[in-house]
Amino acid sequence: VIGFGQTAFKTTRADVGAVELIYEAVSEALADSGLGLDEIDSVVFASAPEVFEGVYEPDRWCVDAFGGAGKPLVRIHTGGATGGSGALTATRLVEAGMYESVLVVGLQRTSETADAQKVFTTIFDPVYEQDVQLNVITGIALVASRQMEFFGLTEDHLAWVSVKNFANALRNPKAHLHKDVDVADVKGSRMLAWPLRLLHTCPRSDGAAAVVITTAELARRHSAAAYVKGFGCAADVYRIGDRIHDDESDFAIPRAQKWACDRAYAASGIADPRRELDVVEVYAPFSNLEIAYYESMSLAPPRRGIDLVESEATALGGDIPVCPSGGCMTSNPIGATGLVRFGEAAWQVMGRAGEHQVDGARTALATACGGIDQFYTAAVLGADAD
Amino acid sequence: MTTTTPVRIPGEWHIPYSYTIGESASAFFGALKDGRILGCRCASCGRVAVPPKNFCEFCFTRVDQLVEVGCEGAIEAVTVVTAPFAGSPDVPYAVAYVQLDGATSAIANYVRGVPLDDLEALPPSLRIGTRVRAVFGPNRAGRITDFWFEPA
Repeated sequence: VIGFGQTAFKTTRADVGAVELIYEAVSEALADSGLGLDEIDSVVFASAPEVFEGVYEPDRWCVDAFGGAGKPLVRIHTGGATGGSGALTATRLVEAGMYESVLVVGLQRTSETADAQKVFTTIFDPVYEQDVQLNVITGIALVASRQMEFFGLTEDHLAWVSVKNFANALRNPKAHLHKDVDVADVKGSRMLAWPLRLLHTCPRSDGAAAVVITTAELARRHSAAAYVKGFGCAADVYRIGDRIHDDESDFAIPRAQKWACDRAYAASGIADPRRELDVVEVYAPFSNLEIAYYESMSLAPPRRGIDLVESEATALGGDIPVCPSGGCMTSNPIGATGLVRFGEAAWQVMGRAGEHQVDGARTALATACGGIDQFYTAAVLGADAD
Repeated sequence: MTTTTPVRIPGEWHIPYSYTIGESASAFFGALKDGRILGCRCASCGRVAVPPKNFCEFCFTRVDQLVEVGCEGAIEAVTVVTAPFAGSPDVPYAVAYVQLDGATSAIANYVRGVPLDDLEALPPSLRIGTRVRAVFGPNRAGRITDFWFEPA
């Protein structure tokens, strides 16, 4: 990874159209990489729920803004995991020897439509589930209900994660929400769907991100680079009701994320992620999900995700900081978010994360999730080529 | 330098659909009109999925055995929605996934008959593990909302 660009994330960037947002992120990533557009051999366009933009086939619409004319182009779409899947696809294309340098581009403009949950209702089964008005917030509240019943989750744990992520975002100039939030603010915020409150959730953000991925050989000649040590991804079955629990898994601790992480760890030779990773940029748009993911990323023992909250291990300054950027609880341009996690992890191991840099970070994990806990990607990034 | 006021142009997607649901789902909705709930049993793994479909994604085999499951079951996941979303019923309302007796999967529906006065805490009668029963409305349209759950 030799280049990363991200727009500032905001509720509405009224000064630019959607394709102009892309141009902004791509220009920044290209400048960061030192490559000209003519040195990009292929483009992966990571564009998730286009219902937000209200433009079907956004690849047609956005192609000029990422310089796609004349280049091989693929569009990737795995819901919220889209950005992670895009980075994975670009990495695989380079690994396969098809191209030397690939540009990955993510866009989301969530502000164009008035009600995000109305959009999200349409990702549920129109035959059985839409009539019950499931959406992302209610779906994740259902996850939280199991965490509270079986995994020791309390309102205090939820509040701690929110406070940590808001505090981290104050150090990240690109983050959407910059506000001081304390435990009382979180606990006093409006209940949306028990047990989830407003400050347990993410904002809707406009924004774009872009990453340049190239061969290790070319990266070695570059002033700063992060190296993809391993990548994993996995999907799970569609219906929530078919994966509530069995002898080996629980809907509250997504097994597909464990499958994705296990593959990434195996590919990168990581045996003990808690000790070997220096920093994690997890795609967790709700505070309860971050705690569930501690376990499915194998950072916490089975059923003990809350341990990392109680020991404050995942705070900036803890032994395994999670989302030093503030993560997607403070900026969530959905389809681009996975790419932001990937770019932030790359910056961490390059030592270029600025005010939210984790001192001495050499190995980082970046994840993405999509669907309702259905699609996952996991990437391990390292400071060294070997 | 002049200031430009950003303009927004209104737009709307309104595209009607007619979803073809197949024989298994059609049988399910037909049975709902009779006050019965159908699942399908996989001959290979024995899972009983509710609602039914004509294959098992775990075994990747064809499934053609429809079975009737119980109208009672236990709550597996639950939420009380307190913020109004577009198209949703009046808040507060409760939604749960329930594993019906004889089924190995859970199905989502509204839970009624539970007072939702305190929006800060989950009513004890909605706790995971609580027994509930499917209650069928008088006018059944062959939709999932032909029934809902109430405490058993």
